[in-house]
Formats: sequence, structure tokens, C-alpha cells
Amino acid sequence: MQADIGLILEGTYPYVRGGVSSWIHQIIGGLPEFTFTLIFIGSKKADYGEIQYDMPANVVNLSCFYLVSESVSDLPKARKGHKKAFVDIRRMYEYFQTPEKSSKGQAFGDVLRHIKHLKTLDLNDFLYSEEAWDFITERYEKGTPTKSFLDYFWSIRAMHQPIFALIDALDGAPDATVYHTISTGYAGLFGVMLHHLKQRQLILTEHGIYTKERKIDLSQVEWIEDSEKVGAATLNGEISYLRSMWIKFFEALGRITYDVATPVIAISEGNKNRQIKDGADPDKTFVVSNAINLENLQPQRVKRPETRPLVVGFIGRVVPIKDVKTFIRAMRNVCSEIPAVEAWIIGGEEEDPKYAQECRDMIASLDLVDDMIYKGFCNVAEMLPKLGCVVLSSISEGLPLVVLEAFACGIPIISTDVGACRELIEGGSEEDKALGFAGATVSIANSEELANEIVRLFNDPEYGKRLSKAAEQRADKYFGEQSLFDSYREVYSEALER
Amino acid sequence: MKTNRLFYKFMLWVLLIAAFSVQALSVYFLSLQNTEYALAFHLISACLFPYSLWKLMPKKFENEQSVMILLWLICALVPFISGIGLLLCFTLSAYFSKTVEVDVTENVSMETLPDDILENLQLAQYNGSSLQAILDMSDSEDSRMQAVLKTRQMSDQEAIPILKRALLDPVDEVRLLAYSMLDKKEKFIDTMIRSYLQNLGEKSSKKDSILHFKLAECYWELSYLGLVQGKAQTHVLGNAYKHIQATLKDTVDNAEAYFLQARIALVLDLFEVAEISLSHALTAGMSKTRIAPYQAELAFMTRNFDQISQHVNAVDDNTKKNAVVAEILAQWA
Repeated sequence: MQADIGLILEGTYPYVRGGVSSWIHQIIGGLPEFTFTLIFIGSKKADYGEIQYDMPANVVNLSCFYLVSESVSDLPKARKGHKKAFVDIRRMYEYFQTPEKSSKGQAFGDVLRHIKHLKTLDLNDFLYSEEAWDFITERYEKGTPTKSFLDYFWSIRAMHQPIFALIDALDGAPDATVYHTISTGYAGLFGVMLHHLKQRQLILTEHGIYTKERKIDLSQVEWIEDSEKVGAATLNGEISYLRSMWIKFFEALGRITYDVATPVIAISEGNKNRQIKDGADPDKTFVVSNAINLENLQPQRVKRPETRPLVVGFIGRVVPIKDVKTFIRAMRNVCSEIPAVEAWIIGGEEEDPKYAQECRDMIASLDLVDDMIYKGFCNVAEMLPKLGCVVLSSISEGLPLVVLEAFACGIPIISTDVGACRELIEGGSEEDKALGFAGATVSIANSEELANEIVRLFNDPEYGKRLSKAAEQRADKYFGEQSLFDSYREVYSEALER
Repeated sequence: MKTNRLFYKFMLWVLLIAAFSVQALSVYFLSLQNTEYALAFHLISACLFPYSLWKLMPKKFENEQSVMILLWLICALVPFISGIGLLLCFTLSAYFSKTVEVDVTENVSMETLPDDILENLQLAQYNGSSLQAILDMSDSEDSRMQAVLKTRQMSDQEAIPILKRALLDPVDEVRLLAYSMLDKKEKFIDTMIRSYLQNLGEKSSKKDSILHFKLAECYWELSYLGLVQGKAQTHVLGNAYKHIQATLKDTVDNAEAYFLQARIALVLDLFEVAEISLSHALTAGMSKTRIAPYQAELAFMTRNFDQISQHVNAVDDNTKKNAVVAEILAQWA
């Protein structure tokens, strides 16, 4: 059965819990008039466990594809390679470098035609052909002739193999009338491939900015560092050519998705501006904010006690991007100031057990074992009335649903100034700002500032009340999920009618 | 019978060799331009050679006269066919060959020194203050990103304030990069702490003493580098103090341990402990020049201002040349 919408998901729903997964679950459940097929793209099968969500009735299929192949490839064989295919590959790379000079996304479509229709290009051509060798050496000579060719050569290979894995996956990709990718990166690229091959519209919704997150990862990853140490490739620590090659690769994946996708949807104004800066067409880029089911949370608001509970809640997965360590350090300060305060960590630890253990060690070393309580995965709505405030110490966020849920229950948020958090806490439009602050923002990795804001909230009940009131009003006015469903209903209906 | 057959074969081999000799005679007469003799000897050889070869071949060819004729034709005509071949070869190459000019020189492009190395050398000269200035004033996101990356070449003490400044940058990438670099430094110290704590108690008391000292150093580093703040910093310093005391329980002549205890005590405002520790460090062999700045600090903190100049003047000559130190010296002289 052909589904209406093919959702392309990279490393998230339905196998990994989190904000993006909750949003996807919410969208599928909130639009029962459309059928969905889920296309999950993961690194390798072993990295994912069981399905974490009950599948809504309108999900007709789930297909999983993995970027890292566990099969052994054939023995290398010499081959010439198809001249015309490599002419198109050269054109595609020119497009990556100077996208403004080329027809949007067409160059990639031409290369794909060689692979899927003309059968003039396959992985073996890329790995072993004379044409590929000429192409790689030519680009090396042009770009980085003073750097290590060996590093360059193997990086190019490593970079492109997942693309061929995706191309292989195309044969098994389920059919859908419209495809909708929830990020750029490999999911976006798969969407672009499906767009070219099946002539289907591609919709893009980005929660975080994929390219930006990869850029940060790549600036720090050790496996690139190691290879550079050998050749002392950097004199003064500037971003090395290998890192910058990988960054450019992900930028190219982003650009190609922005070129092909219509529309491009951001979850906040800040993210929209960033997408436009990275190449998205302003005419087809717009914002659809995240939203929540206010009716479900109304009873929780009533349950909130008159006196603010001396409990600080951290709601989220225990993973490095949430910077739980800064929260723990801040709690050392808070507990020294107000010994009765407790901190609850509400979220799973299984995604990064090593980091979770480091956090537990830190709690022990800061003598906070009795003050910080792990609650694990719980029903967030039920926990919210028991909290005095919610803390978000993340180093990167989109538009976190947990902020909206806390607001709906009248719980102020103390958050790092990331993603759309400041917009949420202080208000976006002038009318929104008039409602007042619904919490406070602090700079990232600043445990002292974070602690001071928590202490201020508990020590000044009037201030706390003002924040809670603004939180409730903001949630009621701007974050009801009906507007979210209406927006996506319109986007899907328009795409299906084309 | 068998002997006869062997003799017959032997004679055939003789005949074959004779055929070669006759052919040699033919070549000899050809060289004397005596073509009649040369042709006659060639024809004799052309008959002897195929015949002897045919007879030496396996039995299945015994009745195949066509083999004999083929061999005879090849032997008789080879000089003529070869002649025609040579003639064609030389004539064609003489008239139709292309002239190839062999250029013994080769153009080799002169490689210039890589530009980026010169640029890098220039950029490498940036120090802490100029990087801080770039972060404060540059409008270019790339420059600020580069400024953060350049801290990789600096000591932690120099790099950390710059990275902390970058945490306030308006652009996400710059902030996140600074964060991840700070996190990496902290993680390194945390890993050391965990590993030392795991080994504590497993070894002899002497080894434990070393582990306590290393733990004190790690906790001190966390605080000294500013990787923890506020009450968490006090807590970490408390840990450092606890471990340095444990070190000194077993050793009485460890100058470095006394010195570290003094520095920790100074930050924790335990001035009496700091004074005693500095004096123990001196007794245990540490040079006065190393201890002097901390004695000066202690004198300042305990409001013994008259002692400051004495301690400041004891600082070694190299340190005195430092601009900041020189200013302090001038102030307290």
C-alpha cells in the first residue's frame, strides 16, 4: 500500500527517544487522515535497540537502512570507469563548490541517473576505476597539493561509501506520494535521491541545524586529530584540511537538500535565518513552531501546589549535548545556598552509558548523592507539578518541547541561551514579550550563573509567581498543538494535490 | 633391430647438422657474391633439412607427405620471404615515417613555498590578548572561530580564559567549539582523577602517597584553570586539600607537596597552614626564588605589607624581566 507521506528519519524515531521523536509521534498521531511510511536511516543495526513508541494506526510501514555495511566487499578489480559519468561527477562537485553557478540540484540528479538508470557507475567504479583515480588525484592537485595524499585519498573513500549505501537502499525504499525528511544530512540526501528517481516532492523540517552540529562534532573528533599528528598538518591549530573537507561534505549535503526541498520548515526564526544563510531559498522557507496538547496538561497545572516545591527538574536524556555536568555543578552551589533543594534527573541514561557514569561519578565527588535523584524515564506531565523549576543546561537545542510542557503547567524555565530558548522565555513578537519573562536564560557551561538564577527563583517567591504566570499565559496563547496540525495539514494537502 | 633403429636416428641427426652446414656454405658463397653456388647449396640444404626433420618427427606424421612439403617450402622460401619483409620494412619506414623531434629537456614547474605556511606562521604569532581582542571585536565569524582554534597551541592557563570568553559569543558554532574544547580539557583531568581513585588503596602505602599527591594536583588543576566555579570550586579545593594532607601524612621531606599545600591553603584562606607549608617546602630544599612570590602573596593577604618588598625582591632575575612582575616590583620596592 502506497502511503501518503514517507517520513525520512536519521537516527531518531521510533528507535531513539527525545524531543524530535516526540514531535514526530505527535505529528503522526495528530494527522490521522494521512497515512505514513517510516524510513529509518541509522549508522549500523547494532547501535539501535527496540522500538520505543507504540506505532499509531496510520503508520503503514517501517523500513530501516544502515549506512555502515557489515558485508565484505568483492576483491578489487581494475576497471576503466565510464567517462561521461565522471564528467557529470565533476559537474556535481563544481556545484558543491559554487552552487550559485549551477542549476539547482540537477547535477546530483545526473550522477544518480548514471547509477540507477544507465548503470554506468557503481561503488566499484568509485573505488577501483582509472577514471575515479584521475578524478581524485586531479582534485587533490587542485585543492591541497601540500597535504598528505594518503589522508586525502582515504577520507574521500570514507566520505562517499555511505552515499553508495544509500543508493543501494533506494531499491528497497517504500513508495510514498510525498517524502518528508526531518533533517538534512544523510536523511536529506536520501530524500533528494527519492525526489529525483521517483519524481516526488520533498518536504524538509529541521529541528536543530544538522550542518552546524556536524561542524562542531568534526572540529573535535579524535580520529581526525590522530592522523594529523603524524604529519603535523597544522602549524597553529587552524581548522585542518581534513576536518574542513568533512565539514564541506556535510555543508554540501545540506545545500543539496535545501535546493530540492519545498518547503523548508524551521521551528524558530533563528533557525530559519540560519537555513537561509546556508542556502535555503527565503521564498520557500518558513517557521512552524513546536506545540503541545494543552488540554492534557491542564489537570497538571491545577495540581501545582501553592508553595513552590524545592525541587529542580532536569528533563532530558543524559547525553553530552544536554551538558548535565554543568547542571550538577550548579546544584553544588544551589545545595550549599539552600540545603533543602533537591534535583531530579528525569530521563534515560542508556544512550550514552559512559557519559551517564561520568555524571554519577561527578555527583559522588561533589557530595550530592543525597541531593540529586535519578528518576529515569517517567511520565513528564505527572512529574511537572512536583517541580519548582525546570532547568535546561544544553549546549545546543532547537525548540524544546519540554519548555512548552513546563510552561503549560506554569513551571518557570532556567535555560542556557541556545536555539529558540530565549525566544520562548522572553517572548518572540512584541505582543508576546509583553507577557513578561517566563524564566531566565544563562550562557552555556556557566554553572555559577545557572545556580544564581535557581537560587533567585527559590528565594524570591514574588519573582517566581510572575514567571509562572507568564509561562501559563504564553503556553495558552502560542503553543496549542492545533496550529501545528493545521500548518502541517496544509503543507501535506498541498503537496499531495500536486 | 633396436641397434639399427638407434643408428638410423643417429644418421638422421647427422643429416640435420649437415643441412645446417650446407646452409652455412650457401651464406658463405652469397657473401662472395657467387649466387649460383649459394642458391645450389641453399636448395641442397632445403632438401636435407626438411627430410631429416620429417623423419625425426613422431610416427603419426610418417605418412603425411604434406608435412614434408610444407617444411620444404618454408626452408626453401624463408630467405625470399624474409627479404621481401625487410625490403618493405625499410622502404616504408624510409618514405612514410614521421619525424619525431626528441626534446631532451623537460619543463618542470617551479614550486613556490606553500602560501598557507607563511600565513600560518604569521597567525601563529597571535598571543592571548590579540585572540581575546579578535573575539571581542571581530565581526567575522570565521576569524573568531580561528581565534578559538588557535588556543590549541597555548598552555591551558592561557587558553582557558579565551575559551571562556568565547562561550559568550553570539554565534552558536563559536560557542559550541569553545565549549567542546573546554570540555575536553576537563574530561582529561576527570579521567585522571577517576583512574587514581580506582587505584587508591590497592597499592602499598608509599604508592598511595603518590596517588594522593597526583589527586591533589588534579583537583588543584581543575580549580586553578578555572574549570569549576563558585561552591563547586571550593568543594574541589577541599578535595585537593584532603589529598595533599594524606600525602604529607607519610612523607616529611616532600618539598613539592608542601608547596602545593601552601598554594591550596592560600586560596582557601588558611593562611597559617600556607605559611607553615611554605617554610617546610623551603626546609625540604625548594629554592627561595620559587617560594618568594607566594610568600609575598601571603604577606599581602595577612596585611604584613612591610614584608612584601623583601619577598618580591627574592624573585629570580628572569621573572623580574616580565613586564607585569616589573610593575609589581616597582610598586613594592
